[in-house]
Parts: sequence; structure tokens; C-alpha cells
Amino acid sequence: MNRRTSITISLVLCLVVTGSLFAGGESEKNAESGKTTITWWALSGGGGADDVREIYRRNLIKEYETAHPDVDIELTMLENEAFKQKVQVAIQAGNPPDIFHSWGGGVMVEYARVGALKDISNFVENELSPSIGSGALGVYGYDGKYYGAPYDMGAVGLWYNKAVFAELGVDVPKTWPELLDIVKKAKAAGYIPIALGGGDRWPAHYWWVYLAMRIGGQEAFNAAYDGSGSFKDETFVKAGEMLLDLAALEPFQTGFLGSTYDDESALVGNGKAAMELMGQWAPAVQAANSESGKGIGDDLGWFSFPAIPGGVGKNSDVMGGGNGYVIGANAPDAALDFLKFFLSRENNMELHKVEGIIPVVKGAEEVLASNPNAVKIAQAVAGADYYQLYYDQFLPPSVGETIKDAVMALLAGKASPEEAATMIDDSWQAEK
Amino acid sequence: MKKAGLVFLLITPAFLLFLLFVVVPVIQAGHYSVYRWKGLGPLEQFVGLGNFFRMFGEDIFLTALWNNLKVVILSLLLQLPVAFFFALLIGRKRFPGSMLFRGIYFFPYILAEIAIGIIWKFIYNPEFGLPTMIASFVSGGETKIALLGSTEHAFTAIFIVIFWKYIGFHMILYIAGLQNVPDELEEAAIIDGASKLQVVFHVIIPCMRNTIVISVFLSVVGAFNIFDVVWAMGQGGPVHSTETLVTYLYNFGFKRFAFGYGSAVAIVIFLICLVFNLFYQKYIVGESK
Amino acid sequence: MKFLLGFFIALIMFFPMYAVIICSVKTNGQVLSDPFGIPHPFDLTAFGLVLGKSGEFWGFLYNSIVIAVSTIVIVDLFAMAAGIALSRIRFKGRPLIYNFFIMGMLFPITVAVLPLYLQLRDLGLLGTQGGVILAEAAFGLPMAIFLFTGFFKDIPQELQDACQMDGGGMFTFFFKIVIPISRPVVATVSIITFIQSWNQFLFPLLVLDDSSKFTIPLGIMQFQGQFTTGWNQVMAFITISIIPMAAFYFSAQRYIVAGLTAGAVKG
Repeated sequence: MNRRTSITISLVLCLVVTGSLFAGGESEKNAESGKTTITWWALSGGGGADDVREIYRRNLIKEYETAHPDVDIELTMLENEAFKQKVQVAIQAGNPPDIFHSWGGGVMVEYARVGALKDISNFVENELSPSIGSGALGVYGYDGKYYGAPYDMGAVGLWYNKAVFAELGVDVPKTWPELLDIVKKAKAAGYIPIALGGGDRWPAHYWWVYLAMRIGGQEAFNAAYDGSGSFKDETFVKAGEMLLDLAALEPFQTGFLGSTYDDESALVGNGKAAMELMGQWAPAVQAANSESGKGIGDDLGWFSFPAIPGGVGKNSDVMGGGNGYVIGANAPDAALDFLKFFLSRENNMELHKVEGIIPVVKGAEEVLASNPNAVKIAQAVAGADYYQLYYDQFLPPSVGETIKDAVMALLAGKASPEEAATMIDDSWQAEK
Repeated sequence: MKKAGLVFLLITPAFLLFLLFVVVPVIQAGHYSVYRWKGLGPLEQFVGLGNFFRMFGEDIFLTALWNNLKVVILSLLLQLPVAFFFALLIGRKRFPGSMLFRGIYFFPYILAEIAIGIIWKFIYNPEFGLPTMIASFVSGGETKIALLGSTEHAFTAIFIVIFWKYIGFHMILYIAGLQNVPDELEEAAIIDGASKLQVVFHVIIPCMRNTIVISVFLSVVGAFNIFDVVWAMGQGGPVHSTETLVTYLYNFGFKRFAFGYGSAVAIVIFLICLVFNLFYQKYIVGESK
Repeated sequence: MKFLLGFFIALIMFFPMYAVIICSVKTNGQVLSDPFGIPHPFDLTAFGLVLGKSGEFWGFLYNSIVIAVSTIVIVDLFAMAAGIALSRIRFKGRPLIYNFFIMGMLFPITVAVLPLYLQLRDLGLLGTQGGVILAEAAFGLPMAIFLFTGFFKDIPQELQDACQMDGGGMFTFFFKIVIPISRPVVATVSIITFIQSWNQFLFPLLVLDDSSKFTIPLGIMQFQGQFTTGWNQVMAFITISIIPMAAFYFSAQRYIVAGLTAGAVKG
């Protein structure tokens, strides 16, 4: 082969390869053979090639596509933070995916306000509300309109090591002073009383929110939210003070200001920490991060946040949240149909086995029967008159960030309870 | 006219690419910086220089700025001299292993930010990490050291990683520069009775002026733009003690949906580097040509 | 003596990598409990999982290579061409254009992310590898042009004149003289571009949707779930992903110093 031929062939190859590099752009997808394409962005569960969440979803897709040959679902699995970045930029560019993960609340509201989400109120009312409770559905609604639906709605509570409690000779605490007492005993016995991933910040803000809820109840929060009161009110300052009371006992692990949630989980899963305040996903994460791979197994128990003597909040008040999907503004109707499929009773029950979620579909509770902790959580959720989505999701993003920062500043001794409350209130005022 | 045509042909591809994907976005960032904008929807709230004024009143921004300055100073005083030392040590006459060492010292530069964050968070882990192991060994008991969890020490811990990551790059630059030092000059100085140190300061360094100029430039600009390592090691925490200008941009711009403000921070970083560049070109680089 | 000192320093510098490699052959639990010790048992499942399951790793590797190589080709070609003009041909506005490019070094890609994303969307390049390549190449141009221009400046004018006298002109000069001796600087530019491209995380994350197009850093992300992480797999992943870069570096090593010498250092 002479030089000219080989050069020509190389050029052609280059063109072909170059062409392929520009393929797959947006317009291409829609032109494909008249099929409806649905883009779906979900959170990965880690474990890489073995990601159970991915495997489960891909199987579900196969099932659905077989039944609906004219639909093509493209799944992208993303890590938590990466997902947040990617979705934000996509929405800014006016390019939201069709189905994507959401925790509801303020962030979702921002998206809805700029028209990135589809108003699926009718769909929710007609197709979903017969089978899913209104409390859970409400997390994905705003101002009377609905934008998505949950597949998991649970509660944040205290996970504890029963063996350690037995060794210390203590019972599950019903009040805050009892909790502080357990902290002292655990520390004396050489355990880490409370594991906390301060570096990630959000686990710390759970403590402050629950304290505020128990002290001031729903009234305090609503007042701050609707403007008749403020985040500088007594309730929120007191929450900071009581958090400092706890911190003064040095209940957290060394270096907690820089720890991640994974670190926190590992401490519980390895039996070194007595307690953590965490959501319904905690057992699975503890197990994954533990040395044994199984966490502390049957020694893991759950109790709801203790009462504060003299507090206005009810002991049944629950802070929690879940996971769900919202629908992008450009999504085809097939996306709604797929969402309904995802939320069928069987699939929701199955999802509990895969991810440890608390099912939202009525009648799915039976799948929890073998898991007493999950039953307690489900009951707590069902029995709560006041169900509060975690502040960092419920409030607008910049306020959420400020709350997390304020709590950490408090714990690091860099801000007083008044200063922390003021920080938060200022940020909230700026958003209204 | 043939020359003009040729120049046009040669420069246009690079120029176009650069214009489209670098210059235009930078200008747009400038545009966003005078608005208060959530990043979603149209630009509505014009605030003029408001973002810039706000910035300089924010404690955390000033912390970030100060952290960047610390990186610049520490790099110039510590990292570059040590890199120079490495270059002298292994960069000249080959001895068994010198090429391998060179590869090892350069290696951290190759690693991705995610990898570095994972690796070093491991090493600094309070439960089982290296500082804890050493402290426990020394104290005989179980002493836990949490560098990344301490608002006083996290910065130092992160600087160590920055030091580790980029030192190889500067070392290679210096090794290249050493090629420029004529052997005769060195030999002459030694014959004249100069000590090793004197040779370094009076012969080698002057001959390497160009290299040092470049190394300092890249180091300073790099220091102002540092993001990957700091972000991977704690996202500017704990409690914002390790924020740098770019992580600040990320945390207070992107994450809080405050894009106008974030873009303003970006413009400030750019301006700082620009001013430095102009100053540097005029007073330092100018002389050597 | 030099050897001892060099060796000791090498141990310290290499320690973090040692930690990665040693953890990749442990069980996940042991990674957390005893990260720096000798693994017992020696466990290769992490590697098996990373390399085997559904061949995803190979896909990431392929994508990273495609993107990196394409970026390198564009940067080398464009920057070399511009370098020639900026170093060997006198024309009005030359310093201005040169400085225009150099200023690009002051702005990292992270900061221009949103406008860049919008730019790609408007050009219909979102979701394509081409979009990632063009942007990465654009940001690699300043450093490359800096090195090429510096390098070419040193070619003696006599050589260029000689070509002209033989009736050749710029093209002859280019193909007969410049290209053959450019190996060191091309190697340097290529390595630097390769490293930048290979390690890019944020930008490909934002642009690419189809996980079959993901690059290696995005692949690492897959091993960090919403809360859990398969640590030993992450370590194995990192270990394997370093091999191509290390290989590339060691093969081009001798050129880098020469390239930097001529391109950057002589000025």
C-alpha cells in the first residue's frame, strides 16, 4: 500500500471517529425511530459493579420496556453530590431530565418556580393518592400543586446498640436529661456516646432541628416560616443552648468536626459508638461501612427523640424525609406511566428489600414485618401529626446551607446560640 | 499578502477554539457578576457592584483570601526550595535509582483529585490513620489525632497534600533548567575554592533565572486557583477554616444558588491573577529578555 | 549518600500510593480497620469486581483514552500551528495575540463551568464526548502555545532563511525542519494535556449523561453511593486507572525534560 493510500485511509478513519464523537447529542435521541425516550437520573448505592440499586432499576426497566416496546428508558446512576451538581446545571440550561431524584422541599420548589418541573397534580390525585398517603405525597407538593411522588418516607430517630445499653444498665431514654445521663455513662465506660459526621454537616443539624421541635413545637417553626415570628425566637436560641449542653459532655468521637457520615456509620457498625441520630437508611449504611459487613445485626435498636421537660412540642412530632422522583417539564406522558409502575405495591415492597426504604404505598407494611426497627419507624411516621421535612431540604437551599453552617459554628465554639439563630434568620429574611 | 494569509491560517484554529470555549464564558461570567441571580430563569436583579462590596465584607471570603495568600507564601518559601533541592539531588548525574526516584516524586501530580482526596482522608483518619498511629505509639496508649477535624490544624494538613502533589512538577521544571547551567562555570567556581552552597547560590541559581521565573509564576497562579485538593479534603471545612477563593465560589455561589455572587468571586480571582501577571511581566520577566 | 537520601524521600513520597495499592487487595472491612498493614487474607475480589462485572471499567478506560487522545491531537496541532506563527513570523499585533492566549492560563475550567455548559448546549454538543474534548482542548491551549512558542523561538534563523533560499518557504521549513525536531516539546505538551484530561471530573460529569460514555474519574464516583462506598473497589479502581498514565509517563519521560528545557526554560 503506498503512502497516498495509507494517508487517505487514515483520514477517512479520522473522520469516522470524529463523527462518532459528536454523535449522541440531544437532537439525535429524539429522532430515533419514533420511540419515546425517557431520561432517568437516580442515586447510586455504591458498591460499584455490585450496586444493588442499579441492578434493581435496570431489571425494572427491562420489564417495562418489554411491556411497552415503544418506550426507551435511559438510566444514569449518580453519586449524591455529583447528582446535585449535574441536575442543577441541567436545569439552569433549561434541560431537565424527565425523571430525577428529589428530596422534595425547598430545592424542589426552586426548580418548580423556574418552570423546570411538570405539574402533575391530576396524575397524583387520580393515580397515586388512592395508594399513597397524603402526608408523604405532600412533601412533593407546593402551593396546591404536585411535581413528583415519594417512594420512601421515613423518620430520623436514635439508633442505639442494645448490647452497650445492657452493659451500661440503662433503658431507652424517654427524656432529654435521661439521654444526657446515658451519654455520661457511655463515655465513662470507654464508648463513644454519639457518633457524628460533622464534616458533612447535615447529620449535626438533625440534633438542632429536633431540639427546636421538642422545645417550640410546630407553632414555633410555622411562626418563623410565615413571618409572625422569626428564627431568632426563644425556641431556636434555646435549641442552640441545649445542643451546647450536650456538646459540653464531649459525646462525639475525636475529630468529629471533620468526619463524614460514612465515618459516623462505621463507628456504629463496628460497635464503638452507642448511638447516632439518623434516618431510616442507617442500618444498611452501618452494615456497608462495618468491618464485618453486617453491622451490629440484632443488637441494633431504634427509639424516637426524647421529650424535653417543659417543651411545647409533642413526642409524636417527627422530623424525617425520604426519597422520591420528580418529573421534568419536558417529560413525555410515558414518564408518568413509568413512575406509576415504579410505585406499584409490589415494586415498592421489593424496593424495601433492595434499599431498606420505608414503603409509602398502603398495604406494603407487611414487608417490614421481619424488621422491628422499620416497623417502629413506619408507625412513628404514620402517627405523627406534625411531620417536618429536614430543614436543609425544606427551606430554600441558601438557608439550608446557612443552618448547617450555623450548627457547625455552634459546635466548633465559633458562634453563640444567639449568633447562630441570627445567622439563620438573616439568611431566611434574604430569601423571602 | 501571502504572509498575512499564512498567519491567519496558522492562528485561526487555536484562536477560534479559545475564543469560543474560554473567552466567551469568561465574559459571560463577568455579565452574571453584576446581577443577583439564582442560576435558574432570566437575569432580573441588577445589583451593579453590590456583589463585590458584599464579598469584601464577608468574614469567610477574607478567610479564603488569606488562605490563598498562605498557600502562595508557603509554596514560595517551602515547596519551591525543596523542589529545587530534589532537582539538585537526583536531577543531574545519574545514579542507580535516580530515574525511578524522579518518577516517584513526580507521581502525585498525575493522580486525580478524587483519588487524592480518598487517599489522604484515609491517611488522616482519626480512628486508624497515620497521625493517630504515630501518636498512639509515642504515647503508649490510644491517642487519636484528628487533623482534618480541627479548625486550627486542617489547613496545615491540607497544605501538606498540596506540597506533596505539586512538588514533583516544579522539580521536573528545575531539572530541565539545570541543563542550562554550563559545567565549565561550575567547575571554574569549584576550582576557585567555592563551597557547594556558594556554587548553588552564585552559579546555578543565576543561570536558572528563567526557569525560576516560570516556576514562581505557575506556582502563584496555581495557588490562587487551587480547588481540587482542598475540595476533596473537606470542601473548605471544617467550619470554613480551609476555604480558598475557588471553594468559596463553589460553596457560596453554586451551592447556595447565588450565581451572580459566584461569578463575581470568579471575576475577582481572575483580576487578582491578571494584576499579578501584569506586574510580573513588567518588572520581573521583562528584565531577563 | 545521594542514593540514601533519595531513597528515604521516595519512601515518604510514595507512602500514599502504597496505601492505595495495599488496600486494593484487602476486604472492605479490613480496609477500614487496618488500612496500612499487610493484608490478611490477600484478597483479589476487588480487582475481579472492578475489571469483570459487565465490563464497565473497560468502557471507562476506553472513553478516557478516546477523550484524552483526541484532546491531545487537537492541542498539539492547533498550538503548534499557532506557535509557529507567533515565534517565526513577524506581524502586527503579535505580542497582543500571544498575551491573549497566555492570559487563558489564569482561568481554570471549574470557574467557567456554567457559561461553558450553556455554550455547549447552544451548540448542540451536550451529551457528546466531542463537547468535552473541545472544551478541554480549549483550556489546554494557553500552556501548549506557551511551550511551543518558546521552543520554536530557539530555532536558529539561519535554518529558516536557508529554506527560503532554496525556494521552499514556510511549508518546507515546517515539514523538513520544525516537525522532526519537535519531539521533546510535543511529548511535554502531550503529557501535560493527557494528565489534565485524564483527571477531569466536574466537566465531563456535567456534560455527559450516558454512563456508557463516562470517563474513569466518573467511574470512581460510581463506587461512592449515596452513603456507602466499596472502599477496596475504589482503591483497586484507582490502582488500575493509574497504570495507563504511569506507562505513558515513563515512556515519554526522557523527552519531558528536554521539552521543558527548550520550551519553557530557555525563554
